[in-house]
Amino acid sequence: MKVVIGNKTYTEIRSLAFSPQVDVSLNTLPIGSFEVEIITTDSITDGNTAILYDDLDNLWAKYRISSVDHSDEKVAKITADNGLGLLDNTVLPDTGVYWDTIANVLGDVLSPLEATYGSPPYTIDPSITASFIGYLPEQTARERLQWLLLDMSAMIITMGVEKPHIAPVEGGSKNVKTIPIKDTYYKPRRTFQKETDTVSITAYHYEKANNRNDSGSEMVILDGSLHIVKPYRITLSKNIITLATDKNPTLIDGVKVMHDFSASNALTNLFPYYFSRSTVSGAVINNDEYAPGDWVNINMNDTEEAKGAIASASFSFGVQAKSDLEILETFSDQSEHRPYQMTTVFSFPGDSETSAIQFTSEQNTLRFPAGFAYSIENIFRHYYADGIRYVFRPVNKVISGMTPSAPTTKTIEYAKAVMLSNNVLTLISVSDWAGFFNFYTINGFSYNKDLDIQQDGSPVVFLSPVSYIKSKSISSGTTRWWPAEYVIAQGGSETSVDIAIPEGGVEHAFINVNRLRTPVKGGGWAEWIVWNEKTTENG
Amino acid sequence: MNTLYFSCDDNEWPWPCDINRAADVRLSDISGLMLDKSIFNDVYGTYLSYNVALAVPPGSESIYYSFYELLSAPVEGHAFKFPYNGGRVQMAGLVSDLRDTYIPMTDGSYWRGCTFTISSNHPTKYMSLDEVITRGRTPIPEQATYEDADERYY
Repeated sequence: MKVVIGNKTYTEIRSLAFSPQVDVSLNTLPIGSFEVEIITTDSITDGNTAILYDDLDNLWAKYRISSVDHSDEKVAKITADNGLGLLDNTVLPDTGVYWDTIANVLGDVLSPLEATYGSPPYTIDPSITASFIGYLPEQTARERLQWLLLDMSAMIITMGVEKPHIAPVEGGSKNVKTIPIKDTYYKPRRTFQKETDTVSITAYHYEKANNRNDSGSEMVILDGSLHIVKPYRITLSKNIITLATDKNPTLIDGVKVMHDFSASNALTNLFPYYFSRSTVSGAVINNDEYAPGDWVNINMNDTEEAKGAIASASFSFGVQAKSDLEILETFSDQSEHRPYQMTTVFSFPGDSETSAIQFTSEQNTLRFPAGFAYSIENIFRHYYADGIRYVFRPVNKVISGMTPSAPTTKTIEYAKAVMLSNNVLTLISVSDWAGFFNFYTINGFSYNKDLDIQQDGSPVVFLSPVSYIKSKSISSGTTRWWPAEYVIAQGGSETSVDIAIPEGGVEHAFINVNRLRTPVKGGGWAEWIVWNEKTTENG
Repeated sequence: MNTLYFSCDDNEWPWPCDINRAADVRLSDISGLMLDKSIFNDVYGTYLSYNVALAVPPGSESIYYSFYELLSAPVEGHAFKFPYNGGRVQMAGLVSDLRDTYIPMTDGSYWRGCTFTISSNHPTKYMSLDEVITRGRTPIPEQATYEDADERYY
């Protein structure tokens, strides 16, 4: 091996240790490094670039010197790393939404590395999707890089490359290298971690809002407009039974995946590691053949093999090279590369008011591994334009199923729930399942205003504060008034509801929904959807 | 060709001496036991060492003393020439374990029995990484079969 620093090549190496790493589970951003002791009286300073080559002139690492120890006047002890630690020192501002390519966003994130790697200070695999819609808060450059890598389902490779290379993390193995048993040291070992049946990730939707606050949702300004942040869960499971019974799926967390496709993509790439959760540690003869990020078959003994992705490879050198590998193992039935697309089509009521709604196609195409169960929380969808706000409710709270072995299309039906126009709130229908039905303040709501209600057989939700609410029975036609702090209707029995607004009106109202049960005449319980009032603008 | 006993930094030792040669095929630290139970030998190269015993004719002390000063110099190595098969080998080597004995006499004391070892600083034979990879590992023969009570085939 030899080290090139500036225009000088050093071959008198007393010791060398090289530790490249990647995180194929996309949770961290490891820093690869090498430490070398060179016999020299030259004065070497940190900040310069050190390039490690083998005797065949293959490049092993191009790193930035982080420290030099000259305590022995004949020896320089050098530590060099891939520079990703520098990203901790840069804080990047809130950028708002990036309706842009990842490549353009990466330039700002990785600019601290330009002194070492030139401009641009990275390369990127062309297979990684170019366009993203997302939101980046104020964060360090390293945090932002980690978010972007998860969003792309990618890892950053710094071994054997001139510049840090961003490559996709595959959920299954496309090119598996087999390590010969004669090149495997005695003896690899396996460590088991807690296995999981179900893994879940939170995806975030950003929908344009009006300029009113909402009591339950995070709000951000993107591109100069107020947007609601709506989180929802996408879950993958080994089968339908475990999907239905697992109450506490393992959550992939730590970064905010921006949208459906990224979330499902991350699940598809990461699930083999979560479902099997074992690590194989073994030493092999490695003359630049196996690098972190590669998929390998490694022998555990005469008869058994293990397969997985290399997370780290710590090298020691003689004439040849030996590396201690940490391999995230997956089992053959899970690691086969077989993601399939499922196109989700959001079907909205076709009328003139909502025909203009468009959701970009890339948000509608999800990817799951064939043969595994999935579920997607469906969220209320808000659409705001020209002073009119619509809230659409999904007909089903969750869609789930088994991913088939061929691309398929799944339709998610939506019904119009609420329309707010000119301070007139029209409630159309709401599903009978509990949950947050976040809405907006009603400014200048006038009292004694009747609201148009359309009853489609499902319970209707009303706003407060109101004095009284009158409901009318379908069967008997009887009307009755209820105290204002309660809600309004029980399952399908009411045809219409009028709301009497207190004299003086209200400035603002923030609405949340919770379930409430009350006894009913004749026995039994009635489920109510309860609105709680908040009367301050800031909730 | 004149008989070469040995030379150090171009100074030839002029008298017969005992020269013992040893060759060490040295392994790196990454050598070891592999999963197929074979031994992986990562060879740095073949390092020669010579062990020399000098004999000094009476009256030749001045030459001996100058050689002694040369061999005992605090340097990391000298340029040596030693007999090697039918010819000679040149090597950079470190002197170690230089010993002799002082014989005090009433009519002339002297030093005798000088021995020392020279270890080469560099392998006299080695293979490049490319050659090592190209050559690969030595094939392991078939398991020994015992065919005859008096003979074994390997």
